[in-house]
Amino acid sequence: MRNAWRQSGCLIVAAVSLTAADPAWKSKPAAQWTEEDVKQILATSPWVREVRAVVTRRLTEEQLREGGQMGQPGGVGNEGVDPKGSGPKVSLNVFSGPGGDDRSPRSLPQPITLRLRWESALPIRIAELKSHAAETPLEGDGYRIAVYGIPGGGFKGDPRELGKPLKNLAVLKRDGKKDVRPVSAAVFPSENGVVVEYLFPLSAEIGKRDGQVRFEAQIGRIVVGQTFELSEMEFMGKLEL
Amino acid sequence: MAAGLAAPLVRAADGPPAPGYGSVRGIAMDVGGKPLATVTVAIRSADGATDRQVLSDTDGSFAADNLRPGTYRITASKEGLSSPPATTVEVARDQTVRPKVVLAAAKSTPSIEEELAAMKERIAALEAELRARNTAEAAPAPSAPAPAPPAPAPPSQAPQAAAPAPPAPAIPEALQAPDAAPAVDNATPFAFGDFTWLNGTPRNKDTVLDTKFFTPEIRFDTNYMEDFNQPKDHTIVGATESFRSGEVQIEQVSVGGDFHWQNVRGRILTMFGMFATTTPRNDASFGVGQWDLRDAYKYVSEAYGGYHFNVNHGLNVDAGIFVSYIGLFSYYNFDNWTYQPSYVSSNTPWFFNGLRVQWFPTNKLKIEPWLINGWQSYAKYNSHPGLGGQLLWQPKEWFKLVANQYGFGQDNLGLPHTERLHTDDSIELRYYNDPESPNISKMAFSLTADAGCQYGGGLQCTGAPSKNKESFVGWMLYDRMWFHKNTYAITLGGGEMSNWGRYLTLLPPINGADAVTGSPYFTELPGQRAHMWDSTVTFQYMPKQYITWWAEVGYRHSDVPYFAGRGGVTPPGFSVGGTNGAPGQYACMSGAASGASDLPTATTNCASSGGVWFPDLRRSETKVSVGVMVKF
Repeated sequence: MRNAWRQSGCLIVAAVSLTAADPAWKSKPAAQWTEEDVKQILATSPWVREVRAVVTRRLTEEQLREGGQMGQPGGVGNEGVDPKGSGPKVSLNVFSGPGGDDRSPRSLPQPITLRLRWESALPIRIAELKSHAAETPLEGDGYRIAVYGIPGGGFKGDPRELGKPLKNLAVLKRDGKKDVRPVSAAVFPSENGVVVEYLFPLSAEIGKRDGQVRFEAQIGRIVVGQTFELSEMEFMGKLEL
Repeated sequence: MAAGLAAPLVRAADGPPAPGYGSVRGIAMDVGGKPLATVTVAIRSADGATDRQVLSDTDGSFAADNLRPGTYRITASKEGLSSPPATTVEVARDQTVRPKVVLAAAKSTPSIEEELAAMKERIAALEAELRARNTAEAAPAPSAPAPAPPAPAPPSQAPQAAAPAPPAPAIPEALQAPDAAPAVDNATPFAFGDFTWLNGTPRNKDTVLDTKFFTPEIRFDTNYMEDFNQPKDHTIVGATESFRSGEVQIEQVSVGGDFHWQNVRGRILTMFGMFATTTPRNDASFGVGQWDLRDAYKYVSEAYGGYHFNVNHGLNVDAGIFVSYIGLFSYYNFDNWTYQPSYVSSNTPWFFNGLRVQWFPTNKLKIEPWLINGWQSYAKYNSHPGLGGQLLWQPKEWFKLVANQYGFGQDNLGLPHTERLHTDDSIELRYYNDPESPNISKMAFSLTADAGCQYGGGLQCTGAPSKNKESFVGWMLYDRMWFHKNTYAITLGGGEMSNWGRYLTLLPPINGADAVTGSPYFTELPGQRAHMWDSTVTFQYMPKQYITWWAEVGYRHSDVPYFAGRGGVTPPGFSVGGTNGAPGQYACMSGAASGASDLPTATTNCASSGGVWFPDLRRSETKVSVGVMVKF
């Protein structure tokens, strides 16, 4: 009898736990999503990823010139990405020093946390609508992926013009299939930095059979890459991208 | 549209209109003529190719530049105001259209309830879209009946669509273990690796100061050399890096930098110190015509301007004076593994004057054609310019291949029909790398091979020396080991050259001789041989990235008398200037010019002056050098 009670108790706890663990996009219709649900969807759903990206090292003038350029590159992902105080220090002591380790933090790759979001996915669009989030300037059908949290600001101009140089530096990769390049990109400001959004063509026809899709992009000196599990990105039983 | 949505849009004009394009500069206002700020104005071309969105400024003005000529539809919207009908304008080439967009006040500001209702409608529409998509996806299965679109779930019901989905973790897996992102820049050429280990490349990891417009560069290079031949005139000959013995000398002081604004670029690096004299004296083209080009350029190491095109991974077109990397080593000693490189580097060009194109088809390849005045020449010797180019391939951080080719140039004073060919090819390989090691932290080698010749005008590339053979074959090999986290380094190496006709053999500055004057004491005639080899051991202490303390022991050998011996290469009696002003003639023992460049006549002429003076030329030279080099 005691065992039966214990088993029943475990079942109840398990059921409650399972119910509690079910995220809103699986357990509730969109019309019932609360503010918390919306936050959760926009922050931790399978269409959203906090990504550990990299700010590549700042090149010296010689390195830039050897690569055919002069001056530190400007624009999104280049300006404002080096923390203050990360530059070189020159001391008057010329007889001793760290040797080959004599370099500034910014001359080494630095980690940065960004957020990727499939803006075109239906649950994201609903959640954004419910949260009064700003619509992004990219128009047209396609897979829209946004990168949030890029440092810097004050970039003036048409968002799509700003995004043009970035368009060729992003890609969606799948095993055994041709890489997909975006048809357009846009840059616009947000509360926490700059957002870059890419529009990939629907002709890519990403399906469950692909298993995974990997997004890679270089935004100035920021290099970001993230693999998405398509099996997780279902909403109401269907793949949503 | 909510006010927050306006932020991503353009507020101001894009910039000055480009030639061939037009502009729209309008004003948004209400029916009373009052300017309206933050109105979203959409400007869309009739063909759909152009679609701009801009925001009106506080004075209601909005602008869009660089529009292709054509028909555009302009629509405007702002929260609380009704959208006017689209305005159609014709944008003409180099013209500005100034439309007025009038927005009427809406009947009333929508209430919160109305907004919510609108939002619910939108959500319902999105859900309907989803259902429609589900239906469409299910339809192709011929055997299964198409499922009826699910009815919207009542608030109390469990979501029916959630059933087939596998249980998902509360925190997605990717959040728990983010992907490692690739940490390299694959867009900028050669930025994917750290190539500061290369011979001929500065090792700096940082630029001390750079601004948006100018990045300065400063170099100091001071040495003390002790030639074991102990030349009494303190003159070291036969190199473009070693000049004086038993003295502290400033070899190079350079100040300058890169100017860059948008894609326009320019670079200047001045050249003071020994280099200002010792480099120009090897250029005989200065002897062509007027205006004293040697004097004009003697303090300029690099000076060029050009434009960077955003083609592939970059395309540059620059014109001016460039440093040359024929012979692998950099002209600037700070960048090199040794101070005194072998003949293949020391005797080949350090600069070019002309036009250079750099094309980077990939981030690992550079193709760089040149159209230049000649082989390390400020001027064009004869009727042909020099044509050449560099191919640089660095597929991995640990490997470099560079190939320089040159031809067509007629690079001899007074030989208008003689052309020069040259190939210079190098590899560099880093075969060990443990940068944090307190012992050996890095090992690498460089290997360079050169070949060339002159032909035409009675000269030939091959055959017997007596048939006016003019050819060059050379190589050099250096191996370098870094120690203690790359703080110290030792380089061992050397090379060899065989130069028939001596056209790439540096003329010893006997009695102040240079490439124009020549010297009767060391002639450079067709078929004359110069076969030389050398080796060096170089120690470098690099406590900081901006400074190098160094010491070097070197031995050089020649099969003909070439290096300055104890007696030196300066005639007696000329303590000031070191020349009697006639280096092209034999000098007498009194130091006076003999008036002749042939020995019998000079012997006669100098009979009353103690005979003909001869420089003390030796076949070998051993040298110990120390110095310090700084580069910011």
